[in-house]
Amino acid sequence: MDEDLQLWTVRAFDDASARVALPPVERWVPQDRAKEFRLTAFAVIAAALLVGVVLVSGVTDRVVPAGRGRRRRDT
Amino acid sequence: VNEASWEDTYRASYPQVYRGLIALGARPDEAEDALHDAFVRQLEGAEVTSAAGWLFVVAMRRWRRRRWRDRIFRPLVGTARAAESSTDVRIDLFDALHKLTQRQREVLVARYVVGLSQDETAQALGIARGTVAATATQAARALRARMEER
Repeated sequence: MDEDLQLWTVRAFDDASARVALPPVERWVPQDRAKEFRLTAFAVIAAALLVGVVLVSGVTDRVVPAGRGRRRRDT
Repeated sequence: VNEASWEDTYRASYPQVYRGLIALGARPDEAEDALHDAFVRQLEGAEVTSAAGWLFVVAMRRWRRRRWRDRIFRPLVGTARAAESSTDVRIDLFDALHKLTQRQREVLVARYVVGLSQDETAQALGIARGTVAATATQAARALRARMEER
């Protein structure tokens, strides 16, 4: 490759590459999927337990107004 | 290579390899996934010689395999996605690159985007050093002609 072509190629690819935006650095390395799964499972179980505790502690006896009862039909 | 030192090596090569995949036509999400797959592949015990070259070739193969799988199992989605631009910014040089042969594209991208030497390119792509030089010259000439036509 002659020098002129070499120079053109290097410049053209440098310019084009510089226009490609990279993803955020935090996304470069893949997350540990197993760890993620364990954390999600733990969060779901904790949330379920919390909801259960709230429901159990918040339950009070319902007061049902007494009905007048059925009138017996005279035959 | 232990996990920490592989992560350092991987991070150092990430920008060039990511841009190389985009230059070859990968969408940003595909390029990210392919790099993640290559990262994990090394942790599973694959032997790495030249880090950037290895990462480029493994990520490129992963991307191509995934793209074929998408085309087979989701033909309509695949067609729609293929029509989309690979990046937010339309890059004329990369568009012109797609008119070249696959071998020419790979050699140019390996040399001028990923930044591999002739020897590293030859080793990564499994071709002779002389073939790298000849292909690069021919491809660069064709690419320049196409760009000047525009």
